[in-house]
Parts: sequence; structure tokens; C-alpha cells
Amino acid sequence: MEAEHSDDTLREVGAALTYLPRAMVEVIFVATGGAAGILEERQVVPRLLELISPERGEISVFPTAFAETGRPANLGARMIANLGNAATSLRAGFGLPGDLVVASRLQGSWNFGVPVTLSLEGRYDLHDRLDYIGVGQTPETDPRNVFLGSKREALYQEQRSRAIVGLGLRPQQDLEVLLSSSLTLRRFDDQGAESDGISQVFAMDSVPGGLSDVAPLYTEGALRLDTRPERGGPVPGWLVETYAGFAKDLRGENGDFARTGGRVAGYLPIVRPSNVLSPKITADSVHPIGSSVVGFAELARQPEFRGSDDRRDDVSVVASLDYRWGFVRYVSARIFADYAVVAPDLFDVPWDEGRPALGLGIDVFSRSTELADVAVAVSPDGAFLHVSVGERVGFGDRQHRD
Amino acid sequence: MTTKDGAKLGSVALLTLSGLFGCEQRPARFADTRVITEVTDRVPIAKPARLPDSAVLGPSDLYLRFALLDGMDPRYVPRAGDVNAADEVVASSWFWPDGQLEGTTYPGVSRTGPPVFPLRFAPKDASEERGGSWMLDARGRRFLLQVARSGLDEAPSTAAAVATRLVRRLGYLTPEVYVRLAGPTDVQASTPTEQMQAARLVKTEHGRVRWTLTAWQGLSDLGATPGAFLRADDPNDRVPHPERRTLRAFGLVGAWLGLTTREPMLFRDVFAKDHVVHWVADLSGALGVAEAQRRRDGSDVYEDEDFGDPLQQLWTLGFHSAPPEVPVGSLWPGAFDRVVRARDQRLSPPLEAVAHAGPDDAYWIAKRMAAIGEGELRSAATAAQLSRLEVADWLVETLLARRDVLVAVALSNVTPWEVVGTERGALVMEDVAVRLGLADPKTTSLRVEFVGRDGALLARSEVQHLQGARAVLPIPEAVRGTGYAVVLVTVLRRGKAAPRPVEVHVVMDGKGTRVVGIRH
Repeated sequence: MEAEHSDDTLREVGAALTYLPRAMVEVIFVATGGAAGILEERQVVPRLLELISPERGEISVFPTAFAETGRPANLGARMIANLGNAATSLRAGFGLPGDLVVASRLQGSWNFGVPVTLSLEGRYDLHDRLDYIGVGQTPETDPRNVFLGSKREALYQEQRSRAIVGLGLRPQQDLEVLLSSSLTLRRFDDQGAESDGISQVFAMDSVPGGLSDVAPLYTEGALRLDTRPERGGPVPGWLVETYAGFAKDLRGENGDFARTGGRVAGYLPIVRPSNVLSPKITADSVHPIGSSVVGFAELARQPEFRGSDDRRDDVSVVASLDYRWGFVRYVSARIFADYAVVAPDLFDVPWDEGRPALGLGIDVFSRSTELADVAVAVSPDGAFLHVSVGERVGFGDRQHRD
Repeated sequence: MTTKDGAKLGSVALLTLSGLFGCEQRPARFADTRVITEVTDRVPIAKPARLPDSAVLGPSDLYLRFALLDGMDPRYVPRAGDVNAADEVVASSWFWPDGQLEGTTYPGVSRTGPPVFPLRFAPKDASEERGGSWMLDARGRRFLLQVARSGLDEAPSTAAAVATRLVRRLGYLTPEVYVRLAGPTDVQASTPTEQMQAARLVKTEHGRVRWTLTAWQGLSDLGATPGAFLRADDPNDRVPHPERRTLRAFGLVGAWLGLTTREPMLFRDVFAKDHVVHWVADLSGALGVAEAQRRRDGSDVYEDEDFGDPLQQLWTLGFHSAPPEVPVGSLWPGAFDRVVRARDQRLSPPLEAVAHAGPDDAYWIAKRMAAIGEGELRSAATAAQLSRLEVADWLVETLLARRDVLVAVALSNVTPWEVVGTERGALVMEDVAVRLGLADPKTTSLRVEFVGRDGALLARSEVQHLQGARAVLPIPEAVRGTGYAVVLVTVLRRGKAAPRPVEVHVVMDGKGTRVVGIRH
């Protein structure tokens, strides 16, 4: 009975072509409450309200995509089973030429007077052609780096197997207590016969910890005060987070070390509640215990910096200023400026040598989590494009960071 | 521009490509059968599960998911699925056009009638927690009793009483709502607990307390009516909800009645004996009451933020001003006045079907709105038992003014002509706009095209300067010989053509000329 248009067939073809993206949008919205933590891969304790009325979803499988300048595009799939108070996730992602990520997570959330979350996780990842440019803010001139030739950038491969257990409590509406422990088996490869392997570019004595296999057992406690009523979009509030952790290398190749750090961010409404100016400062540090050495892969890095995250040292400080404004419900734009610096010591930070980055982007989010974002940043190191859908690669708490 | 519009940009390539191929339309063909006026979607079923409000009214789902999915689908939005060949919504468990202001003749839901005092407390049912008290009247009929809130005084109960009657008159199924002034002797309490509850129900600083009593006799609440998906456990629920004209047209109903919010209690599924009935249940936020209440309570960042034009909002870094708010009057404490704004058709959170509404859907409900007489509006206002008669008069005048604007706009977006009958093989049609006094027949003319079943033009004619609301359109002999033709009638007002014609499908054979289908 329906009238026929001459372009009906073409539109049907179009509908078939857009089926996969539509299916992806459909299932990506399973993220709610406990599942939000699963999706974001960072410790999140659901608020009491989210525990009282969890949306029970069926098992969902959806593709994930992540691309960033300087890294191979990573495509994969994630399966989430949201069973109300419990959620499980299985994820696999592949990037050419040799990246592989497989992760499985089980998270349960309960209300024992206060919301409590327990998560168990197993992860394996293989990353090919990772950059190593030495330690310090300006590695080329840092005397701790000894170069064998004219090359200043080296590549390496890393395999990691991780088991993570996390316990989170929300004793008050805005306060989270997070306890976690992980065992990581790290194995490094010097990229075989390639001339730009670490051992071809650097004197190995100058590479902290060298390329020895390590197995750090890392345990951390964190406190997070987040007064924002929602985590996904630009809403006013304050965020204060601090953590302290201790790592022991069970293989004994490297020594023990401690991590400390934190971040403070304000989310200040400008004119309307959905226009938010957000100054933030993040500081991370590692401290060798006794005469031990902290391996180069364990040094403080700068995932919060939206330029090139290739500096590492004992101390990292990233300051940023974001202005984010909603222009459609659940879609916001942002402009941002970052300033990042690393140093061997907190009292020896070369503040005037920091790297700036300026950029803009658009985010799509739900109440409880970010769903997708695209951003472009420019810094003295070049221009960087970041695209992610259903994926938060390169970010997370200390247990989940790359 | 909305999220949906933004998402549509993703389909630009496809649509551009389709444009290269042109976009001609081959008309539908209607069967030569009796026009269906009612569907029996009340086959006895087991009682479905009660849906939690969060499953139906998740904000990011409503604001983002549906708009994104809709925007990424390049197919044409289908016409409404609950209409018959005469372009009218068929009677069903969603819509029962019996012309009633109170109660309904819908099978399975008997009219309760006004409550008879004294009331007593009904047994508690934990599955039906509400903002009120379940009561039984002297005849044992069950009502939900709500005491008028302070602050907005008589407004919510007035809105519920007036808007419920008008929505019922439009044909939607609603519970019966009665406003009553009550005192201590109007409620009976048999236990100390009930005595305490009764004392709260009649507590007032101004003489008699004002009660809103909503009839829920023999009905079981199944939760909010899903706007985007079918109920899996209701086999009678067959037409996708975004394709229901009753829901698509509700944007216009909301604009008329000053209803800006889609509260969980607005659309409810209820189980009546053995099947699901779809209520428009709680209209206490109509007449601008919910909007005024929202401003009193403070706003939620996402649900109540008005972004205005999204593109302007984007380029101005979020400093683009939102449209001015409707002033709250001194006579009536709701954000409601005679001016109808384009955004008044948007509920918040959005009703998914409204995004699919077309001019034909708006025209259908506009006709129904126009059919409500001033006397019926006054009856509805009287039922609110307002303490000041001038407020009732103001409400009637405001509703009439808003209705006239909305009807005029809806009729201008189609060719508002209806088939009255056939006369010696010719079509007799009537201009609804002229009949309602919204257009002058002297400046109205018609362009008539006769199209074959394959879409080919068979003949063309014009009718200039009508004498009244009706016109007789002869069918040329060459067209009669084809047996089946589509008559495309486009109205012109002062020489300007309406955006779309009305399609009249006619069968011509030895039995005569019969109209088998109409589309606006």
C-alpha cells in the first residue's frame, strides 16, 4: 500500500550500509552504572541511584575503533553482558602491523549500605613499534641518555600479561575509595634486526632497567572526590584525586618502587551550566626504593597530555585548561590547552621547557560515560588527531594505563 | 538543527546520489474494500510485566540514541501505521473517538463516574506506588487521591481536570479526573494509622481542601508506555510506536495544552481485565504548570537546558542566548499564554514519534482540535471547580486562541480538502479551512491532476474562485476508462499553492465511482 519512490532502492542500500554503525550506536548505550566502569576501563563505583535501578541489558557485541596520530589504528570488538548488578566484558582489538589487545573483565556492584564494586580482570596486550626517545624533558640533550649514533628515536616491542583485582567503595555520595592490585608480566623485544631498535640507538646502560623481563606486583590505594553529578558531559563540580602505590618486581630484575600523585580539577560554569571552564593539574611520580632502578616502562608518562605522549621521567606534571560547551543534548565541543613537563625530581622541574598543545574536539556522551570523541591538537611536535568510539585506549588509572 | 539533523549529515553522500537519480513517486494503490474503522487489538493475553520508568525514559536514550539512529537511516520515514484508507486513525486500545469529555465507551473500561463521598482507604498495592493515596469511594470504586500542592495553588489539579477532558475529547484514552473540595467528614479512617493519614489529607489553611481524584477502577499499571519500542510481552502491540499517528500528533496536542514535559506518568500502559490499554494518564503538568514548577525547583543541566539553535550554540562557544521563556502570568500561575512558539511542540524528554510527525499527522489532529466547541472547553474548565470564574474564562480564551493558531498552521501545510461524496461520477469535496473560516473561498482555487496507477499524468483541470467551501470535480471520460485513478488536488490561496496535494484514489467501473483511499 505504501507509495514507491524511485530512490527507495538506493535508500535501502544506504540503510544496509549504515546498519553496522546503527547497530553500534544501539548497543553502545548499554553503558550504564556498573557497565560504565566496564566500558571505560577505569575504576568507577556506581552511585547509589545507579545501583537501585540498574538497566538490565542483554549480551551485546559491538565494534570498537581507536585512531591516534603516531599509533596504528586499532579496530576490534567488545562484548558486554550487563546483568544488572554484575557486568562482564570481553574485548579484542587489533592494529597493524602487530598490535593486539585482549581483555576480560568481571565487575559486580552491590549496595551494603554504601555502594561497593569488585572487579577481576585479565589482560594481554602486544604492542609493536613503540617509541622510546630516552628520558627527560629534552632527551636529545639529557646527559642520562647515551646515543650510539645520530638516531634519536628507537623502537621496541612489548608484551604484557596482567591480572588486576580492584575494590571500590563510595562511602559518601561524591567520595570514592579505590583499592587495587595487579601482577604484570612484561617482556620487551628490541625489534630484531631493525636498525632503529633500542640497542642500536641507545647504549643499554643508559636505558633504565634495560630490556629485562619484569614482573611487578603493584598495589595502590586512591581517594577520589568528584562532586560532578554526572561523569559524561560538561557539568559543574570539583574533582580531587590522590593515590599512592607500591610495586615489587617478583623477578628481581628491577627494584621496588613507589608511585604517588594526584590531580585537581575544577569544572566552573560560565553563563550557563553546560558551558564549563575546567582548569586541571595532574602530577605523577615514581620513587625508587633504596638503590633500585625503575624500569623505563614504569616511569611516569603523560597520558593526560593531548600532544605526543613520548616523554618519561620520575616526575610528570600536566596542566590543562579546557572549555567545554554543550550545543546539543549529550554532544559537546571543547577547546583546550595543555602544558606538560617531566623531570627527574619535583624540585628540579624545568617549568620553562614544557611542551604546549592546543586543540579542539567534539564529544558524544551519555549520563554515565563518554561514548565517542574526536579531537585535533597541535604542539611543537606536530599535529595530532585522536578518534575513538567505544574505546578509551591510553587512558585510565595507573593499573590500566599503557 | 537537532541531533537528528546533525546525524543526517552522515547520509549526505547517499542522498546526493539519490538526487542524481531523481525522486519521483509512484502512487500507492488502495484495495476496493470497506474502510476499516476499528482494529481489535484487545485479544486476551496474560498480564505483561511492569516496565521500570528507566527502561522507557533513559535521558541519553531519548535525547541521543533515537535521534542518532533515526538520522543514520536514509530511508523515508514511513507514513503512520495506524490510519485507514480514509486517512483517519482507526479506533483501538490507543484511540477511541467517541466524543466524550469524561469517561469512555471503550470496551473493557467502564465509566467510573464522579466519586461519591465519604472515601475510605483502599488496600495497599506495593506495585502501584504513586504520589497520592489509593482510596475507595462510597460505591467501592477506586481512585487515586492527590491533595493540591501549595505554591501553585489550584493549578495542577485544574490542569489535570481541563487537559484530561480535552485529550479525551480528541479521542485519546484517559482516566477520569475529578476535582472536589473536601472536608474532614469526607474521608473515613478505621485505624490510628489511617486517622493520621486522613488528618493529612484534609489539612488546609483555607477552609476546604482541594482534591484531585483519578479513577483507576479495575486497572493495573504496567509502567510508562515505550515511545521507541514495542512491548515484547504484548502480542496485540503491532504498530511500531514511532509510526503511530496518535503519538506523532501529540506534539501539537502538547503545544495546544501548554504541556512541555514528558513525565513518567504522562503515557501509561494499563492492564484492563485481559489486555493492555494505552492511557494519557497524568496531565497535571499541562497549561504551563510543569514549566512553571520546573523554574521554581531549579533546573537539571541536560533535561532542562534549552540550547536554542545548536549551530549558533556551537559557533558562539555556548554563549548563544536561548529563546525567551514564556512569562508566568499573575492570573494563572503557569507558563502559559496566547502565543504559541515553534518549540512548544517539543516535549522534554522528547517523545520519539513526534520526530516522525508529518504534515498529514498534524492535519489529522488539527481537524480534531477544531471540532471541539467553545461550550466543551467551558465544560472542561468548569470541571476544574476554580475558585475564581475569571480564571476559567481566561483559560478558555487562551485555549481557543492557541488552538486557532495551531489549526491554521497545520491546515496551511497540506491541502485541507475532504471528500464529501460523489455526484453523478464527479467528486464532491470540501475545503476544511474555508468551512472553519480560516480561508476565503473567493481567493481560493484548485489545481486538479488525474494520475494513473503507474504515476503517469492522464489529465489536468483547474477550478477558479470557489463560491463556498465545496467544489464538484468532474472526472474526465479518458480517466474514467482507466478504472483506477489518483486525483491530486492542490489548493491555491491567492495564487500560492499549498506544499502538498491531497490524493484521492478512485475506482471507476460498472458499479459507479467509488473513493477507496485518501491521503493528505
